[in-house]
Amino acid sequence: MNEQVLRAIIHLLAISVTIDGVAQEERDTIRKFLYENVDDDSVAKYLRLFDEYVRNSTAHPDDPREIEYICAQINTELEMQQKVIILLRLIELGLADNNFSSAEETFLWQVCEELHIGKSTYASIRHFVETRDIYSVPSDNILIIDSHEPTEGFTRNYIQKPKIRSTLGVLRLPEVDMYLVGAAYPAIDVYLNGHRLKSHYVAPLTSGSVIRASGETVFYSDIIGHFLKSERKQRITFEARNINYFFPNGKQALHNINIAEEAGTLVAIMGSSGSGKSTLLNVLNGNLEPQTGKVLVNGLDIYHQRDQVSGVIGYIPQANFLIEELTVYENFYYTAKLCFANLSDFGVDRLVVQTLRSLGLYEVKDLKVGTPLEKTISGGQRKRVNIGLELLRQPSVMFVDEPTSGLSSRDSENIMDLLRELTMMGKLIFVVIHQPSSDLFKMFDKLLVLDTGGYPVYYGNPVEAVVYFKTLVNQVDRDMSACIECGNINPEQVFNIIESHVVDEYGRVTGERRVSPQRWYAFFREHIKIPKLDPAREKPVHTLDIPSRFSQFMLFSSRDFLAKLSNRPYMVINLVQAPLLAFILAYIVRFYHVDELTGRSEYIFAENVNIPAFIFMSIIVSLFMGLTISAEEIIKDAKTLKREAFLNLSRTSYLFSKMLILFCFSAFQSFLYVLIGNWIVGIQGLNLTYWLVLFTCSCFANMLGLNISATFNSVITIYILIPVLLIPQLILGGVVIKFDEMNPMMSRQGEVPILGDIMASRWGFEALLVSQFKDNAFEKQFYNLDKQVANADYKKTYYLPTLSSKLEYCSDVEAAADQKAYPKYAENLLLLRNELTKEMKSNPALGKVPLGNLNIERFDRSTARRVKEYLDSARAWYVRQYNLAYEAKDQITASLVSTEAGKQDFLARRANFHNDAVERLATNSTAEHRIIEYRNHLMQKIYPVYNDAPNLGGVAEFRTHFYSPGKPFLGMRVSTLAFNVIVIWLMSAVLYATLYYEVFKNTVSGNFLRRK
Amino acid sequence: MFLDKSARIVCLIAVWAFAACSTGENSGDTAQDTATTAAMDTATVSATTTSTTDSKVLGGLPPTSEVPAMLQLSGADFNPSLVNSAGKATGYTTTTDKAALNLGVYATDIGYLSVYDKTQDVITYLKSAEKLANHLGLNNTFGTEMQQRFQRNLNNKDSLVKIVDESMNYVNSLLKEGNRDATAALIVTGSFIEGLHVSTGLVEKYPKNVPSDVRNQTLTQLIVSITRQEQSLDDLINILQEVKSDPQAAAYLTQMQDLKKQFEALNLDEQIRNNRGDLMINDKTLTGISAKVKQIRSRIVG
Repeated sequence: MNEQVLRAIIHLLAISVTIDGVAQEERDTIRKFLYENVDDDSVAKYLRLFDEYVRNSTAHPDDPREIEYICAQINTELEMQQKVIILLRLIELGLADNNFSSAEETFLWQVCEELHIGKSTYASIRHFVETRDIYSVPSDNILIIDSHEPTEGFTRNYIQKPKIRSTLGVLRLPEVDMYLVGAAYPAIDVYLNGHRLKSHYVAPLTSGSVIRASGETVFYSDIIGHFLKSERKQRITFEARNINYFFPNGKQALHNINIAEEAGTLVAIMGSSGSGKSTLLNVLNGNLEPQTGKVLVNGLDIYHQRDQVSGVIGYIPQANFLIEELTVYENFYYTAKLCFANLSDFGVDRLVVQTLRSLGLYEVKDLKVGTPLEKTISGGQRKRVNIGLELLRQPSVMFVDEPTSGLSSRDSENIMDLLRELTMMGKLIFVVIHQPSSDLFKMFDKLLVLDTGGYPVYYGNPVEAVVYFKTLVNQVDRDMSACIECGNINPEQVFNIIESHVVDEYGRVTGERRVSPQRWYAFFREHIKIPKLDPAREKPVHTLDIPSRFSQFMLFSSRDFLAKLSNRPYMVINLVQAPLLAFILAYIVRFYHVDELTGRSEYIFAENVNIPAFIFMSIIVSLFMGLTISAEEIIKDAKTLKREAFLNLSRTSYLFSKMLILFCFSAFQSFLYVLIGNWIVGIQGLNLTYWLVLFTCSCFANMLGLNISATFNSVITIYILIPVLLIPQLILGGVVIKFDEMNPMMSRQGEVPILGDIMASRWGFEALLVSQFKDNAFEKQFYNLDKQVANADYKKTYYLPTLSSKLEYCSDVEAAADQKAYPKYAENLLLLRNELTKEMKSNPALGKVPLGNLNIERFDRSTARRVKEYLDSARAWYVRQYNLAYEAKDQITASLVSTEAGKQDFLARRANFHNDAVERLATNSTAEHRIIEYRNHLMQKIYPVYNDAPNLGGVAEFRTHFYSPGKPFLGMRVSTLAFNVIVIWLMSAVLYATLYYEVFKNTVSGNFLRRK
Repeated sequence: MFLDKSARIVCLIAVWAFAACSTGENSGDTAQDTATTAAMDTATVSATTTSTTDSKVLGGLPPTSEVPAMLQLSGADFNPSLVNSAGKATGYTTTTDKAALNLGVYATDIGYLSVYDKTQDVITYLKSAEKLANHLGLNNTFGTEMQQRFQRNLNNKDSLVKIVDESMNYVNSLLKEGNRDATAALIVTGSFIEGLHVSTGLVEKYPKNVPSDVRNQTLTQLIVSITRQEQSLDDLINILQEVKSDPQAAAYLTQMQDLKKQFEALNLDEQIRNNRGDLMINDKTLTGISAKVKQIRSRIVG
């Protein structure tokens, strides 16, 4: 407690005491209070303080100011319940000397008012503290615990504990939702939470408290159960009828399980290892559909009428599914927001705080949940967070898997008490539990025992289970269920009987069971009847109010972002990765000549031969970075997803939130990469283009990573897949191995092979290279003219001469005697016909040629002559076009270099914006074959970047050669940059579809049997 | 014309040989003898070279390597300051005329370097020539293939020279085919001017500390080779006349005509007729020509 507040309280106590003088009893009460609230060393100090206050106090009960001031301080720091305790102590103090003056009363009223405590609460407390006989206080808010049987007509709240030697009273304060407990005089052998409860001492009774007296145990939940019985609202019934479940490999896991329960029941499911407890839990909660049988909630089948029972069932798994990077509070906050869209932020906060308090987690609310390795909160607290997250939404039927494993007995009690409290409030809870202590065992209302192989062997009252089994094996003391002296029930006895092994002739225990599971099952069927249940008719109500898909999207995004922000190593790596890689790559690649003659060594962008390699590596780096930040995303969330499966949240929203976060990272990484890489290497003016392409590639890799993350369960598998996915991108990107120089079985000439077309690297690289060549600040002004020059050059230097030589061949053959001896004759004629058709179509001004004569039958000398004329005039025409375009370009250049400054500027610009290596690739100037013949057509190999593929309409037309400047599509011409970027985004969209429909996951798991 | 040229060479050599024999008992005797023999050998060789390559005239002009061959024949040493710097090639890849003129310049330089066996430099200059040829759209001419061919023949000077000549002829034929006669003419112009520049440069910069008879012989050879180029100048002027519609060609036509006037001022034919050629021609008479050549050349190579 805050020191200031403590002083305030002591001050208040001092004032109270001075009203009618200090007595020894009062001082004792003070001391008791101090012992409760501060460490032992400070008690003496505060006692002295108290004495000082008493000496110096000048307050008069009629003077309100001092009291106001002190109470104001208290109000700022303390919660209502703590203030009630203070009031309680003040009342006790007042009554300590058995003299309660009116001055004291006025004083207390004033305190009540300042602390905002209701008068009725005050009255209740006062009567409770004052009374010597609890039976005489008529109130529904009082519960008595005593040893004798209640008499006829005694209708008040009463718990009978025969062995108890003192009368205990519990006061309920509904306005502040608190309970107080006190022992009547004489208080013999009564312990509250391990501390002795003295006579006439009233203590607060908090959630999870345990009262032990003379061997009896009373739990908090037992007590409040009495008070809350009437408040139960909804009726819920749960049935499991004839459940049989088989594993994928055919083995039967559950045999004919039948369950019938109602709300307000706590059911234990127990069994040895391998008896199918967890499987049963998953069948009952809707995770695993049984092959035969039905699971019904209020008569509704949970598998076939899912939407009608959504939100009703809750499941708390054994493992903790928490978001480790967020604090406890944040975990609760987001779950609350995902469950209750109708609550305002303030409402959510209140709910979360309330839940935290009820779980005893309020003190650690701002600590990171952490991992079991990096502990920030204890194991018991983690378990409670796990449970609490599910409790937030108050599902009516809950399945809890081993909530107490790994916890201390005190923590275990706490948790079980919590669960019991929930059943008191009207829930139905199934708990799989292992080796409970006697106390916990006794808390259950029903027990279901399974034996190895999924056979039910007991279903009924827990305490009577021991009797049942003992009877079955004819044990001597079979009528004794519990130990006479201490009241302990030993659940182990049950299992000892079930699993007892045969003893061999030497007296050693063998591995063989005396009674097989099947036999126990037979007994079960014979002796135990499943209770008949009248199923509830109402549709089960749930408090869930799932927010809209957009809100879910925002929540997922902000939660994910927060989690990543607080994961420092993650942020550092992902933000530093890009500029670091850019720097290393660009620095290595920054090549320039060191001129021995002149000793000059300066970096000239145009002469850097590594630029194409740099571009390609940048694309691969983008793909790599995109994969690494996304590969682990879904698998990390696997646990949270499992938990939230019960909320039926929108998968779309979840996936979109993931994509949003990843795309933001990719955008930022690409931005840093382009900034640093392009700066070092000297690529100027095209930063936006580079960013666009690299960002697109990264996003594609993000989608790919999300897919593999959703498909595999092991992180190692995922990371091994990353290079496996990158290698095809490297090989088939078109740079390391040119498409023309690949296995010719893979593709046709003039087209990129299909395998290449599915690689994002191919599209990205082509886009960047073509843009770098034709859109840079130098070439931009010349590109169109260069294109005309190049196309004319191709025609006049390669194309037409080739056609001419074909024609000559045909003419010679035609003149010769035996034409059939020349196999290429027909082919060449066909080629001539194909090409001239194309040429005439694209250049109608050049004239016509009798195409119909270009076959073996009709080819003759006059046709040859006409074709020759056509070719000659065509050539002359192209020569003219070439010269015109060339001169036009020359004029532009001349005007630019007309002054010396202009000339220097021209040369500088060419050196800084243009790159020779890029030009070589884009124009294919070093190729051996400038034109090739393929299937009776001629294909242009030189100048690909100037070659507009023919625009013939149709959809698949875009499959052109590599480095084409534009793609024809549906009759339009789209620039390569735009087209390629769109293609990559389309591939990303396809990957979204495969992700949403879990295509890869189903393929992988359908291929081999997975054993659970 | 053909006979006149070779006759002139033979005459002059004969004269020189005769002169050498009569005055030659000095310490530099052996050197001279070997020089003579070498000169005789190369003379025969160059005579044959001229005869075979003459059929492939460069638009009527002698092959690129002819002038350098002559210069080497004259006994002059190689002077590296006379060739144009290879590093300036990038600066010429702006307008067509600049590229064409300097392609011719580099061609002559390559010839000059080849005949003096400066093979490493030749390789560098080939790269510069490649840049300019590519800029002119003549991608196949000085490219990898040609350079590889060159590499294969590094030991054989004659083959090297032949390769250069063939490449230049090929360039010329490509341009003619493509109706780019003006460009072809500019290349030839550049080549011619560079040849003249090297020749006059050698004369100007000829070291003074060489014994005077050797000096005189070499200088005479040099001067004669320069005068011999007047014929080529006439041919060049004719070529430029044909393409004077191109403004650059027209500009250089004017320059060539001015240069012609300088040649005429020498009155060479008259002096030979008067049989006073060897006496009246010395390095001083070339001043006019040298100056004009310098001016034109500096305009070309910037």
